[in-house]
Amino acid sequence: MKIRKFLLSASSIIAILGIIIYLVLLNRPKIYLLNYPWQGYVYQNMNDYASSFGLPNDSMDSQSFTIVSDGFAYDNHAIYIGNTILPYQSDAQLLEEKQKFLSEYQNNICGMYAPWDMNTLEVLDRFGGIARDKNFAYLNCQKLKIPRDQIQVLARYLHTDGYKVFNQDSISPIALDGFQKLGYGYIKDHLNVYAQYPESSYTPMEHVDTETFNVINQNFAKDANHYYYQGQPLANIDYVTFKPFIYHAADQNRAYFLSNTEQVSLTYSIDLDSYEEIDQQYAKDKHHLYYEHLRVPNVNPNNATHNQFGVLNDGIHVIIDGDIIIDSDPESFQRLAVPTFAKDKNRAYFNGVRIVNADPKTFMSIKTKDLNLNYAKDAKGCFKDNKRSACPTREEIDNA
Amino acid sequence: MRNLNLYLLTVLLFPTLSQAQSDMFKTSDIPTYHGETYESIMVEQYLKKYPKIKEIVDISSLHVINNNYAIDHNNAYYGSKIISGADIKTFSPYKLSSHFSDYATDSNHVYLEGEQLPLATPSHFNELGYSSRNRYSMDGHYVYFNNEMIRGADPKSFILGNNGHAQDHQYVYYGAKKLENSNAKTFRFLGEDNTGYAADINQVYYFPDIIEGANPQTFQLLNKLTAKDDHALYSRAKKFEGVKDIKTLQIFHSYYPYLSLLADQYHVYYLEYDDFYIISDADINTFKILPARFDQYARDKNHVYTFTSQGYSIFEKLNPQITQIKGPFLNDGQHLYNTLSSWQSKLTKNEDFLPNRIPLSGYESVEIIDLPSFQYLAGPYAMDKDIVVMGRGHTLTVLGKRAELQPKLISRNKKPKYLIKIGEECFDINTSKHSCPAN
Repeated sequence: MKIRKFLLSASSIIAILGIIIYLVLLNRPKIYLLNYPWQGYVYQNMNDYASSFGLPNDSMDSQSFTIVSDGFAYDNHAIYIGNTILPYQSDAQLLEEKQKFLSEYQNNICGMYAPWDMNTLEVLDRFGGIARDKNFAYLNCQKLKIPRDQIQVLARYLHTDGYKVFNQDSISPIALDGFQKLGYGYIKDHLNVYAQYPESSYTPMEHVDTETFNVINQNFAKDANHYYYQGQPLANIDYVTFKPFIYHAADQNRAYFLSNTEQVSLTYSIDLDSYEEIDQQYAKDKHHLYYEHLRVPNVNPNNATHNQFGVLNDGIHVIIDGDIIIDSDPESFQRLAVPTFAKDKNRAYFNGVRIVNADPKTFMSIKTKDLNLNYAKDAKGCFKDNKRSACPTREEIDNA
Repeated sequence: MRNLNLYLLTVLLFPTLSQAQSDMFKTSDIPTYHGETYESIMVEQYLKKYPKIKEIVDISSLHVINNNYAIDHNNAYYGSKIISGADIKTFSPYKLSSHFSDYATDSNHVYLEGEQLPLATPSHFNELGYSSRNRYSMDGHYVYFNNEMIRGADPKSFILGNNGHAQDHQYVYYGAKKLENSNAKTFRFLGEDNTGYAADINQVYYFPDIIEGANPQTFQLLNKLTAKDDHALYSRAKKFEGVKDIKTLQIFHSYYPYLSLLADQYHVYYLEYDDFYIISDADINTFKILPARFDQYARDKNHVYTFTSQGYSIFEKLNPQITQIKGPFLNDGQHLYNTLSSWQSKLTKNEDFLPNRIPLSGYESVEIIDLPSFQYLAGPYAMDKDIVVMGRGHTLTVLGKRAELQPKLISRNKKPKYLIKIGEECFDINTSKHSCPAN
């Protein structure tokens, strides 16, 4: 009897254990094995890293290329800090630059408080504040529960532990199943498309056709039914003839100048076939030059080009802020470091009006700490606004 | 019925049009397209701005050129005014987006605000710039100030300067006026800011005025309004002689740029705008400024002085060694004066107001106060053992008995920092009424 009783209870324990084992182990959420060559970092390869920092990948050595932190990498001949390139001189130099980079990160994120081991600190997403040392992973200054070897950055402000996707400190609705980056902040999973607007959060886009959705550039995307600007569908546009540029767009009815989702200006009666964007401010068609949505008169739009200093002109007039600078030289016109000043080979200008008796050859602006002050100088002395004046004091000058 | 239709049309169409005119939309509410054109919106805006043009214009052919110019098949318009003699086939704006320039051209003429520029050639026309809404322009032959031709100015070398001045290779100009006998090559502004003083090798200028007799070699500014050369003192363009030693003359103290005391080694001088006084009584060695919040006082070993827009005065009875200034009150223990300032009291409401009898400023001897018990409160308020008074104004005002009013100075943490409680009412030092704080 005793044996029978014992066996019964043993089998029931085994059964219960079996159920527990089944629940815990077999029904556990699936671990997504993510194939990232630099485990933890978002970058898939050297070219990916180079393009996101605007580095010249043709002069970088892929064999020796190593990422130390998000924004800090090196190869056998150079150190890459953000988008600046320093020639590689010694290991000591590398170490020193790395210390500088990391302490700057710490100052920005945590101030004086250092929750981590500085010697083994790696920044994985410097905008999203994800980092790790030999022991832990961190979000900003807080330790994360995710093991340091298991954390993986997926995109800016997005990371995962292999089960779930986190947006900063909260769980994101984005699933790892079907996770795909579409570019310019758009993410797709097996159900939805998500847009990264505002900057740090990802919101599922409504009524989007996920099958046909594709990203055009940093501002525009489209699917079978709509065009989208910064994640928002555009109302009342003509879908069939719609031509998106980067800041401008046009359809058969009118043109659109978009600064952000709250600021769209309309331009009527344009010539759609010849309408094109020149830069962030200007667009043109065969009849007119447009400054945002305003026509700039008395300019030949067909000759509108930038000179070597990036100043727009039509070969006769210089065009600044939608305005013509009278009698200026389009070839040599340039804006100076303090942008209220400009010069060409004949004259110097303050706010588009000539400065009397200034020598254009030696004319240059002086940056001051107070951005409201406008100082410049030539060989004979200084100018404040458009007048000869005393030079700014040593304290006023911005040496940076 | 037709009127009703028109009304409905206006009511229904107007919101869409005015919405189309306003610049900004959200991406989610870009308006529906109703066949608007740039031209139709410009016309709509123009008619709204210049409704009178409807009486004279042919609306069906109205073409708006910019904010202020338009043409129809008969005429060109500036606002709602016909520009006579304009060639509508070639009529175009000179520069549309500039904020101040309002030039237009046709094949034969240049226009500014609808008026022809005399003899200007459109093909060589150039806008030069503007200073304080005055516009300079030129063609190959002439220079213009607004619509006026500047006679004799050379367009090839003409450039704009500061303070309303301009110059060509030879002369200096102010507005449309050529400054006679000026020399552009040596012309320079005096002083850092926009003082209006300038000089060249021949003469000295105050804005367009030539300061007669001033020596450009020795001319120097003492402050923004005041200057001297080797033989006279100048305020703006006016010359004052009578300074005993011009070489040692300097500003002694400026109460305001227009209210200055000057001194040389012999005398003190008082300059108030264009009025100049030699204070021959003053002792230069002991002369001192008496600091006061509102009015201007000074003393030397013999007198106490006050300086106002009516000149200067001496308090005959005050002993300068022991005179104290408390608000508007001057007191040496023997005499008390109240400094008047009629603009502070609301005199126009006073039935006794007689503009000829009451000085704008000055002082009065006060007899009714018991000097040993005189006590200053704040602002214009003071008291003695019996009464509470308010100084300044056109004369001293007795507010009431001290025993009844129980005047008190209350200091607080917020502005105004001090309140004077008189009876049940509270005032700040500028006599404005405030609600009294509890307790």
